[in-house]
Amino acid sequence: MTTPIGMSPTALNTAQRETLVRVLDVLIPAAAGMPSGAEVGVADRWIDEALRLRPDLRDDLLHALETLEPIDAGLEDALRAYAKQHPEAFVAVGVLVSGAYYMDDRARLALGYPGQEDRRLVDDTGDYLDMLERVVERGPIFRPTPAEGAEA
Amino acid sequence: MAQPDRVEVLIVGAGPTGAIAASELIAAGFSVTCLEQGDWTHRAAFKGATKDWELSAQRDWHPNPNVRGRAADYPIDVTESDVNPLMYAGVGGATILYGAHWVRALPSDFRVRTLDGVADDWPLTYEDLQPFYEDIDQQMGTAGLGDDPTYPDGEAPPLPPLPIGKIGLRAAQGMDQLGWHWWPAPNAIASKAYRGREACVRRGTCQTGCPEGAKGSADLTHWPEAIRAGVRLITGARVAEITVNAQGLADGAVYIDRDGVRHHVAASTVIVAANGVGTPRLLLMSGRDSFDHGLANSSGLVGRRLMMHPYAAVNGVYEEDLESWLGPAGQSIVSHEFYETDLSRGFVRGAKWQVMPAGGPLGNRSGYGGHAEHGDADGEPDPLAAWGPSFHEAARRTFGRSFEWGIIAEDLPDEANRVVLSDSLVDSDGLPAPKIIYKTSENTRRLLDFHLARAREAHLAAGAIETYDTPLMRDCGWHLLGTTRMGDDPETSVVDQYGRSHDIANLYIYDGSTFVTSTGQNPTATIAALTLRAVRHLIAGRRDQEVAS
Repeated sequence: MTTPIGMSPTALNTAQRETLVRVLDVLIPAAAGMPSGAEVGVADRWIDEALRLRPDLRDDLLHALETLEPIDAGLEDALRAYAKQHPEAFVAVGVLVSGAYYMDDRARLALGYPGQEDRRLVDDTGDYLDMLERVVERGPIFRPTPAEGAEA
Repeated sequence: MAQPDRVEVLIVGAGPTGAIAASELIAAGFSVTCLEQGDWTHRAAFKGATKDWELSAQRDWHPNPNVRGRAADYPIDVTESDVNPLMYAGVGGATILYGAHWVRALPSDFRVRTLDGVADDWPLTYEDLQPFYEDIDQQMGTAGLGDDPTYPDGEAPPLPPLPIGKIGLRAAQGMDQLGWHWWPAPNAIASKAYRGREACVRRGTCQTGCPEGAKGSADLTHWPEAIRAGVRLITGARVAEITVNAQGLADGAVYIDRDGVRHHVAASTVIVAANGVGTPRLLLMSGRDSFDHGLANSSGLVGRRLMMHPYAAVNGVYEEDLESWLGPAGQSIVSHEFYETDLSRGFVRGAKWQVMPAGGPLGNRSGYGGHAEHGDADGEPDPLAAWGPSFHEAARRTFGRSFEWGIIAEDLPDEANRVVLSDSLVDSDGLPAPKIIYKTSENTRRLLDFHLARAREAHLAAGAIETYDTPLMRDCGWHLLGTTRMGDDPETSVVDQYGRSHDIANLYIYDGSTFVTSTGQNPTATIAALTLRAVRHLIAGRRDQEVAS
């Protein structure tokens, strides 16, 4: 596949994005209080970001999209068959779409993930000192260095 | 070929041991040059604080050099290995990407033959090393709590412990119920500002580089001061060969710069600090015109007895929100309940356990989300089982609610497990890549089975509602040990207890290559303490040191 002039080498064309939206409807639909992959822009903004980070998976994604593009009805069955025929490419698609999905704030918020945030350190030794005393009371658990000349 | 002035000590590798050695030597008045194939890694490059952290961790910041594929990394042939070796080429070496688990070996680790009748005793004891462990704790800024009954009495770490968090507390409750040992984990991570480093902020991305500069990596703990004191550190310098003069003494090294130009650095003494794969690779590449089997290899043991600590884990899923993406990562709590040998278990030696966080949604998903839970009409696993509504349901069930009991299995030495030079793969300078030949042993498999079963019990005692085993990770070879083992007998060892080559009186090895056995611990604290002991011995004996001229 060629990249049109002026388009980022990691970007997808319109047809590829449309196919990706249909794939996303199977893989990451809205459910369990979580937004769908298409809704948070996986096929628009985030897939480009994911491909920037994982250019090694681009060919697998494009192969999957090219294979699935002509499928009108029964995409779920086609995707299942594709995954069995091309398991490595399917894993690559999964890494890209899930990675893209969790970069969006709406998905993170719905899951309760603030990102790898920074937090001020707290001293929590008071939460466990009573348990730790019992460890100490059970005594040493190491075998000391044997005397010179000792044998097993 | 350029010929700079002769330096008194040339160090190959700017990882933690190269840094420690350089710091000690420059303080003692030696002229020191260090050659490093990689570069500085600036803090701003780390992705921990940005949304692309998890995807970048799978490639750009992956610990496997074959995945990362940077020019500074050399490729490694792993076609005959059960485990992939992990490392980082750059100033600070593997400490850039390590988890900073700062644990010591135990007294029994140095007397394996005497106590358990297997492998070999070390030519030194825990007591010989203890003062150096305590000194290096100060240098690295170790955070932890003293009086752990795992060890003989000694000084407490210089910094207070990091929080064990909700995951550590939950795990400790399980261990308490079972009456099993646990302890707040020691980490080389600043729990408060220390010697120019900031305090940890629990970002939890230690193993992809610390954006805060709180982790004790050698680029922060040692190199800035060593350079101010006068050490010359040359980056982008891949060493191709240690050179030897007519008297059989090491007299420098040839390195290749970024433009492909070869240089020779003349030196009176040479220290190799290139890790348990890079060091034997370099010795095997060196002196091929004069020696049949590489440099310092009259014993035939250079590259042999490779140990890499097979790693397994049990993840537990809990009902409550444990905020299990929070750091440090780093380790929360540790256990040595099953570290010592008990022959009734059907194997010798044991393992250290540690609790670690589960990471973000992808880290969590990689542990659980890929399980095919339903079969199709033919009974085959459904590749879409983890997708659709299940994608979200699994994340809801496990994200923030799971953590890992990790198991570091002691790996006994076997001469068949080894590093050799590849006859087909080369690095970006055309030098032969290392090839790893490594198989896990029956003892290791039994050990891991036992420990996985106990770790499941630990999770269930702590209230886990589900557990998942990872029996043996392929990308787990953080600890590269044993390939130039130390010993008193030149026929059965490569270096003495101070890292000096038996064959070449002014060639030293300071890294995990010199381990006699692997211990069941993260080795960096022991590697660092051994280096401190060795380099101070070298300095103390400088008047008697035979050198190239």
